[in-house]
Amino acid sequence: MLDRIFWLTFFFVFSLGSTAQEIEPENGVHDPHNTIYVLQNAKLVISPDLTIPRGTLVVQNGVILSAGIDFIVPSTAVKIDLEGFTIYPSFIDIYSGSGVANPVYPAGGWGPQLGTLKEGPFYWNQSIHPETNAFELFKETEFKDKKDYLEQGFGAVSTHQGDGILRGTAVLVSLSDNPTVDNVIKAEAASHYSFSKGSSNQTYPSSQMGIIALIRQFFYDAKWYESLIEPTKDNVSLREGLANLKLPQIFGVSDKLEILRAVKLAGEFNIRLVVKGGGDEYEMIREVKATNTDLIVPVNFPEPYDMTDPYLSRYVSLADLKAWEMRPYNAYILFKNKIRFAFTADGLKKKSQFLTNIRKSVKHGLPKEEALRALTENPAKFLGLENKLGTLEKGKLANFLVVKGDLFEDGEIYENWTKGDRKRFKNVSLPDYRGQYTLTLNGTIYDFSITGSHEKPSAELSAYKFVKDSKTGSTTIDTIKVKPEFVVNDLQVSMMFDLHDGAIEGLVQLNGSFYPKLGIMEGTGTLPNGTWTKWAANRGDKFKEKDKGDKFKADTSAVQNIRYPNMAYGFDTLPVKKSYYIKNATLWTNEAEGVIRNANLIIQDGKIKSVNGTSSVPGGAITIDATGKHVTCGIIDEHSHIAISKGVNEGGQSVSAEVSIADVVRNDDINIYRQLSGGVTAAQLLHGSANAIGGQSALIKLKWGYSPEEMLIDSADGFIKCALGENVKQSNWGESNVVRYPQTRMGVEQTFYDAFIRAREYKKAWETYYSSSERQQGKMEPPRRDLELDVLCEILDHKRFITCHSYVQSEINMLMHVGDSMGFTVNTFTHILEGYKVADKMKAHGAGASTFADWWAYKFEVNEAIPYNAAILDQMGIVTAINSDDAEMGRRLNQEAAKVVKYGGVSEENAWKMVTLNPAKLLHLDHRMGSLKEGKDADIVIWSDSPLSINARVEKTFIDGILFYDLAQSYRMHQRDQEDRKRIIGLMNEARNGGAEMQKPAMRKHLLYHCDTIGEEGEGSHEHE
Amino acid sequence: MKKNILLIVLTLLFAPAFSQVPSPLVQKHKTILLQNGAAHIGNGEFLSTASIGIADGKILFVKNTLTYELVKSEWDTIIDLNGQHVYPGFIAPNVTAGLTEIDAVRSTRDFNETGEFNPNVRALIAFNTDSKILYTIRTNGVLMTQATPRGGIISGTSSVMALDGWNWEDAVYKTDDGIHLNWPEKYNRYGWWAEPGGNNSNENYTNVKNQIWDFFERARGYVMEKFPDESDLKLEAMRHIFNGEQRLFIHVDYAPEMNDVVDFARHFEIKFPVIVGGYDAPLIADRLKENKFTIVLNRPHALPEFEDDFTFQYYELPYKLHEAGILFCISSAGDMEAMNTRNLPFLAGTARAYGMSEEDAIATISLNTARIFGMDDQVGSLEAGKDATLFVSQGDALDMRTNNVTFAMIRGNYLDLTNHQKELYEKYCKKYGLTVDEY
Repeated sequence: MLDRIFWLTFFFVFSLGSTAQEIEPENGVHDPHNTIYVLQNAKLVISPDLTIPRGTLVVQNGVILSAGIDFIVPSTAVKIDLEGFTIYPSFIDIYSGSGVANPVYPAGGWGPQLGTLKEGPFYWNQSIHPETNAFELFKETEFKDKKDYLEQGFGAVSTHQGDGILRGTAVLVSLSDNPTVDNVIKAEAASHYSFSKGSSNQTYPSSQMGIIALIRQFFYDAKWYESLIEPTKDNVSLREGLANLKLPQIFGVSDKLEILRAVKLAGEFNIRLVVKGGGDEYEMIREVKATNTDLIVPVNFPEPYDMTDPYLSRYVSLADLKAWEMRPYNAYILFKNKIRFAFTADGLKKKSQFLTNIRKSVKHGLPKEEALRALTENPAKFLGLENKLGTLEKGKLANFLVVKGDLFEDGEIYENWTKGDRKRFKNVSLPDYRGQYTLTLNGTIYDFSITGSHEKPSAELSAYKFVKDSKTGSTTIDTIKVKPEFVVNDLQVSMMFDLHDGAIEGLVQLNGSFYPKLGIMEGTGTLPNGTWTKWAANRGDKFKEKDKGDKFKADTSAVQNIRYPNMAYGFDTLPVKKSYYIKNATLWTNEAEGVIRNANLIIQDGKIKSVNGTSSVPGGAITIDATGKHVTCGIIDEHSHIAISKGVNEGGQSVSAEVSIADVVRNDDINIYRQLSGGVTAAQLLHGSANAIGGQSALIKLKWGYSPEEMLIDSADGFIKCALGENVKQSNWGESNVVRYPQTRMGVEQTFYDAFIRAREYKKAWETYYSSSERQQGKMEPPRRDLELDVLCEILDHKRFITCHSYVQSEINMLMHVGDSMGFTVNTFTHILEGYKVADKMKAHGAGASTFADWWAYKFEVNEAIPYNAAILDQMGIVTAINSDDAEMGRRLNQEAAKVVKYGGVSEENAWKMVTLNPAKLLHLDHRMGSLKEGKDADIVIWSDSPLSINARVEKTFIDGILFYDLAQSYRMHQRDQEDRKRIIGLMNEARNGGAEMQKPAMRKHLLYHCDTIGEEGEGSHEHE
Repeated sequence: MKKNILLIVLTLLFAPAFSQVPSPLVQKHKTILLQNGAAHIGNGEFLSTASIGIADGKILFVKNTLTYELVKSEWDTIIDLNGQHVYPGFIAPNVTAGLTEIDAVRSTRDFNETGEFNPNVRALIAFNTDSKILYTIRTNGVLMTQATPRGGIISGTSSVMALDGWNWEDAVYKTDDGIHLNWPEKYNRYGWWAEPGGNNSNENYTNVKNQIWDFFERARGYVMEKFPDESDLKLEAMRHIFNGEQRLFIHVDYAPEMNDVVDFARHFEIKFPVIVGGYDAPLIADRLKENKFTIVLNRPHALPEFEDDFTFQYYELPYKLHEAGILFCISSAGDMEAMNTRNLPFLAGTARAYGMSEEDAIATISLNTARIFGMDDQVGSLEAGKDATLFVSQGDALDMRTNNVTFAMIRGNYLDLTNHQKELYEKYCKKYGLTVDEY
């Protein structure tokens, strides 16, 4: 059946290829380079979907002339018999940086580098260089790992400059030994992007959200530039950035969350991406699939950890243990979810590990044809080069592998042909010496057997010695076996052995020639006495390869071991909304009813259905007897920095309104779970305080296990962090940070005025533009869209609200004046430790306050901070909240609220509002959060005691009617985790016994951010705020 | 009632002085009787109505008010506590309070001397009785701190200070109580999550460990010699470690290092070895106990050290150590520790919420601490013969909601319970016409 198909498909009348048309002048007589190679009798894997059990591949000029069954072979052709071999299309890696050097910039001066060091008509930011073309930089001499690529089965590699954010174009080269001019398949194969700033020391951007904003701004700039009628200056980066959009767009990221971020960002500009992921896509496969994006995935599976020491093994988290177990399943899970992907060798410590790990993926369930597709057809398609590469079809490049055995089990690559250039790793026509022989030497016949592997045969000679018993006179035969040194070199063979059988007594050395078709070895050699003699060996039976028995079988038994999130305390299945009837509780309503004892609460459809009402209990509702328990709404942390990826501060510039924490919410921060255990249900994730106008906030609910998008509170108002004082002035950043403006509180005021005045003028420019007629607009240069000013305009238009980090009275006063004169109100002063000194002014201005209960003395500007601050502000009628700004204190906010009772005698109910209703008001969420009221979100906490008591423990935390935290369940999860750890450690031990390379335990550390954490690599603790 | 005590104290004031720390008061009463107090003795006992007799700065007796026969004439003053709680003055071990004023301002930091081995530098010398921070600590019931230097391998010598006095000489409660040794960690946690650091720290660990051993060998030899040829201040300072007059405080958290520390202490026959930190102490509590170790536990208000650890790992540590039967006390050291010293009572409160009994929890910041310091004949509990270093709180002092110190004394001397924060509070209440909350 199959035969007929390929007959139909591939049979054609053979004709010689056309004469080569060389551009380059030749030195010497013309060499047409047009030899026809005919590879016969091989199994041909034409494509993942078509295999020909026995066929012929014809190649000329680096191109496939035909692939099918035998046909008339021209007499000029070179024939290669590949009996017993399989030919596969060779692999394509479309994510490489090999052979392309990173940029080198002149050394920067002392202190922070604010501007670019790249001179010329380029973008202002050094990490944005779309004008870089790898084809101009690619150097064969720098292509250090070319041999590794070839040995692993690659035939073509698309390589780019692996540095910076907009990285320019990649060049697709084939790996033949021809000069580069002949090797380049496509000079501009793809345009590359990343979230990594790379070698640039320019201060901006210093965070992932800054990188995201910078990419956005770049594309707005490029489009604006394109729309200019008469640009007064040329900018290559802007031009090239747009031009590159015609190419395949490849975005390199490091994990699953960054895939979502990259796709979302590109979507804003209708750019369709191919994303190079981190290999952990399985952890959020639902969301990754929803992006409908082609992926490039690495196979850099972690090595097992040496967990011998029970103490040191704690440094490896369950998340890392699970990563070791699950990453080999990644490809299989992608396939199961019908996500198109290609493999890359990127990220491997040793490229030689590539094929091993591909096989591991196959062993973990990935069908072989899908593995092949991800190595050949898909990468070719992603580059739009499926007509040239990826399968063994007529007209495509002659890029293929000659393999003995199954490439995806334990087959060996004998040859790698790239563009017709033949790389031999092993000899495909090496004769097979193995078999049973009779060897004639010096008149005696010996049994001679050759076994072992094809490439390394081993020999054994059996001699028979007659021994006569002197007493009985009988004769017995002793069998003497010797193992000669046996060396073959193509058709030549040498051997040496020491034999004592009566006929020969001593060392024999032989050399001979092998005639494979006849199975005969014959030649000459020397006997123990040094005389030369002839010998011959005739093969009787050929060697028969034993059936290994262990049929290849994929093992997908652990594929379900994924949690949400995939780490300690992750859920086995995502919890969902349920109806609850909580009875006999003490309800802290935060409403006019105050605290109601012996009351009930009904939760349905994620909302509070009734508060001690008479409504009927919904069918199927779970009843919770809360006798002796206190029930409250969830705590809202107005000032938090948990659950953020790669940088809480965009400290590169004094104004960075364009950046947004919402772009970088991280859902696998263990502190989300820990804060649920403290009754926190919602938080404002704020930008840090390293600069005057920081970045936009993310308002989230702590929905552990859900995606960042699902955690964001929908239709919440926009907020932005501003900051004043020592952090903004860089007062405590050391003596080298005295360059960035402002360095004084005087300069801080001017920074604000400057920013808002620029925003006002920007707004006016747009208004003028928009109010002009279309005809007039055609003659005008449009204003440049500036994301930073857009956000500032939102503040001026009362569409975005400020939370301002502040300490001393002078600066608080100042910002209110800025607001009053520019027509906006400062929504919230956060920290606001000297708020008590200007409470009357704050009241008049209309600002709220979110402060610490008792912090002070950590820097000079908090020297007059007092724990009575919240009490005074509250008494002055200012909406006052207590916040954490600290992952540890975040889970004890109830205790911090209790301190307000101690310091200043605030009533317990008012103190409780400071961590619930008041922050809800400050975040404009009090219509749906902050109290127990019918119709509000069912963000509910059940406490063992009064929530303000230090004895209180959270027993249950609900968000939107979903039970996210349960004390009893928490103990169970912990136990489950311990058992899971043991199970995986056991598997690692098995891997060790199997000879795996081990790594020492290491902790994957997530940073705890505070306001003044700079860059991505801040310290875990120490200085605060 | 609260007001009454306040009045007593206020009448003793010379003059309210803004922007200065309160002065030590001149004590007029030689004999004082506290009546009707709910006495938390500090040794695990509780007396719901106690009479506490004080004379010449010492506790004469603690008796049941209901059976105690009052003779008014025996007392210069009798204070009716009306059911308020009486506690022994809490002791904050291992803190830099008094040695630093503003964390971010270098000129105010006096706790970290340059060099690796500094047993001879003494914390009490830098202890600033005019630090405003101290007066916000004692108003929460913490009346003594162990002023402790930081940094290097041997940071220096600590002293236990009373939070009252004109100068460090006045204020010191126990001079040079111990030397602080920072044991290295086998595992450096450097790098970050995307690029976890390696662990070439192992080599350095052994190196630092050897340095410590070498130093102690040299010191042990040196102190054997009565008249050394050449004076060595560093080695001389080690003398009292070997003769047991001073404690050796070894700062270490994890079991592998702690095991090394036990071996070390055995080798050098350290008489009073104390672990400071002790995250893993429950895991090897028996070994520590057998080797006479006691523990100054890290601040329990801390996140677990390992991602997979139980969420309340730190909260439960006191209970676990208590169950293991090893002597320990609770420290408030950590982030912003000088100002956070005032939250020490609430750390014991958390220990109570997570398993310990109230009186046992109180002992972790009073008698246990005194025992570890070798001061339990003087302070740590409300027992006859000890110093009258105690305070009264209107409510449960371990709960921030109810901690309200109305009266305190050190060695029988009344304390002025104002501080600059209260003064600022009053100043601005006055500005806005608000009612000042009684305190």
